[in-house]
Amino acid sequence: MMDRLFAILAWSAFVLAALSVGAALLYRSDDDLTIGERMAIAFLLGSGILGTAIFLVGLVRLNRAVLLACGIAAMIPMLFAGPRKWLLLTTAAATRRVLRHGIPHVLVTLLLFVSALPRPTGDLGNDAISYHLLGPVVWLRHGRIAPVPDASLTAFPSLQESIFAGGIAFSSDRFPGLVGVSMIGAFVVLVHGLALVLGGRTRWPALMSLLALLSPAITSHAASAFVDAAYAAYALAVARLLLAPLTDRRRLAFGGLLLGFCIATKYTGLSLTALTVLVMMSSQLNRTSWRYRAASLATVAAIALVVGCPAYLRNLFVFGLPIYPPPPLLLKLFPHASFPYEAAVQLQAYIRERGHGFGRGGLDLLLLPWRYTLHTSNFHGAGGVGVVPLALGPIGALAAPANPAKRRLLVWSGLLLLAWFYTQQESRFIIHVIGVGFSFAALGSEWLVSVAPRLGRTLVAVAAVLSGSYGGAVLAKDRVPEIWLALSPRAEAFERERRVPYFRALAWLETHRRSVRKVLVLGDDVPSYYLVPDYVRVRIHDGGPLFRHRDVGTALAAVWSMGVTHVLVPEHSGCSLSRATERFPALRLAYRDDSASILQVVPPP
Amino acid sequence: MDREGETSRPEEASFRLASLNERSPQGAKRTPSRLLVWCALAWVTIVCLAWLAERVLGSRTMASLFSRRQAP
Repeated sequence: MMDRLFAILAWSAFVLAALSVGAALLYRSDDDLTIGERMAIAFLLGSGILGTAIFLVGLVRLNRAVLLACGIAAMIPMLFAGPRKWLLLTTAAATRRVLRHGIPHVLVTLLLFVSALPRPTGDLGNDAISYHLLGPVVWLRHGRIAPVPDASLTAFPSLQESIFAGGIAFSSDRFPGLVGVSMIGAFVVLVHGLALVLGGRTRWPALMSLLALLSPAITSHAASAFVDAAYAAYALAVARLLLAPLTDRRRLAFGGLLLGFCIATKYTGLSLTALTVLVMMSSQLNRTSWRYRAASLATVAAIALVVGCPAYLRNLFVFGLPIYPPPPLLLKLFPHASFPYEAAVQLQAYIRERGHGFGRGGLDLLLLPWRYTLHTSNFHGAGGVGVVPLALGPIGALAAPANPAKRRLLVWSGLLLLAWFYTQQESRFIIHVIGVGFSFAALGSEWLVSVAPRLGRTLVAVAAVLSGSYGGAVLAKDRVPEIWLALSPRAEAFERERRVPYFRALAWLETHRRSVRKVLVLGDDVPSYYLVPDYVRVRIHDGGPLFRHRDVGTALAAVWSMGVTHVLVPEHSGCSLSRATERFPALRLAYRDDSASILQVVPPP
Repeated sequence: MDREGETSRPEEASFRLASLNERSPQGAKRTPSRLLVWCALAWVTIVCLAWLAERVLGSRTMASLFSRRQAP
């Protein structure tokens, strides 16, 4: 149980450091954010800055000393009275408010938090295993942030993964899930805040934010090492700061920072930034001078690009192009890039097919809200978002009184939805827009109850009960086994053996880690993430960079030159053990079970 | 409007739903048309029923009328 405690301690230190940095930015800001929004945005600003700092430093060196220095630097604002007082007062006020209005929210978040404690498991079909976590563990092993050769997706923007690396260095891989839950907490607070901005009163936004928290399509990935919850939280904070009425010019800088974090978290942050600036540009027409408008937009865009660009520059220097793995079109613009064109086409085709949803035609677009609500699993969002956003969101958007923030949020959400619709219709990529849908649902509920008190209230209650009970039941079914694993180390060990491919062979390598220096992995389906020692692979599983040794024979012939001490041979790898040991006398069988074998490399004479 | 622990949003205050009953500059009370209200109530009912039918009866219900492609 000690490693669970260490993960919680590492998470606490991270939250404190993030809030400290956020407090240094926000304490002089005189605006109209609610207490909850202040905490959430301070946390998001702080975590984004911490992640960016870890990424930048990690490009040169990544180890505990460097990470500790980052953490200590983040706590410096607490030495000053202003940020410290701001943080203490805001935390106390937020706690009072939560105890008065947000007990259900806290209970659900607490259950999610506990369910995030088990160590991540799964095969290469799980993005967390195939690259979100693989990157951090390999970076820590090698002491530097660099794309992992056998997983090109580790070259994605890595702000969130840098945070994961920071926590894993001091605890274990239980840490990333806890970060995800705190991000979804910030997300829910911002759903509540946006509903208030739209004109809702406390009761309805609180209810709708709870229903958002109970939506499996929004919440289920939060407790794992996915980055979508963080991205969605950053995006909603952007909407709150840049699309609501601008009461403080510092918001432009904060909004720019948050857009930069979106760019540094996912490639879609680029389109988010472009569309946000577009909405800001169009909505400020006729209100301010063109100079003011141009200066505002330039400030936002410049900060966003500067903060978001490090991963893109790294890719440009390492691979010859900023977006890696690249879409085929980009390869034509950067013909000298080190990525095979066929692999880019294959990857794009896979993305298009996976994100096809119900189609990309005009009628499909019109029917999208209906289909998404009733068949969320077709968009890889098992469990769905309940009935509330579709039933009450349009009423809030169309019937309830308009205001400038509402118009801007509608246009912003619509444009993001369009971009999502024509690229990859994956449910978790659009949860920030669903969050806006819940905010509009709060507005719709309020309008309906005010114009038809009896029937309206009944219908809103029915919609809320349907959404909450179904979402809660699905979430409970999904999370209760994880809570059990968090509380029972024995059950976790048993489940880990069941869920991790080639578990026994991998455990053998971990047990003999003193003699195992480097493993040559044959076969495509062994998740590199579980390999405790260093490793090299022959083949690649996702169209990543090409290797020097592209077939088993040449790789086995080069084990000495590569410094390989052991070879992991899955049963279905196509490599015959008898032929291998016969042809390469340096190899001796060290371990074998029904799924994989391990060959030991006899050192050169 | 001030709430405990929150500051007010003067620019937004005039747009709050409490303003449904506010009066226009001409003094006439602004109320939504009955058709709009009934349409809204009908929409919520339809969506709830469709969603419920989908969850209870599966994809052969009215909910799937617009959904040609089945879950993979």
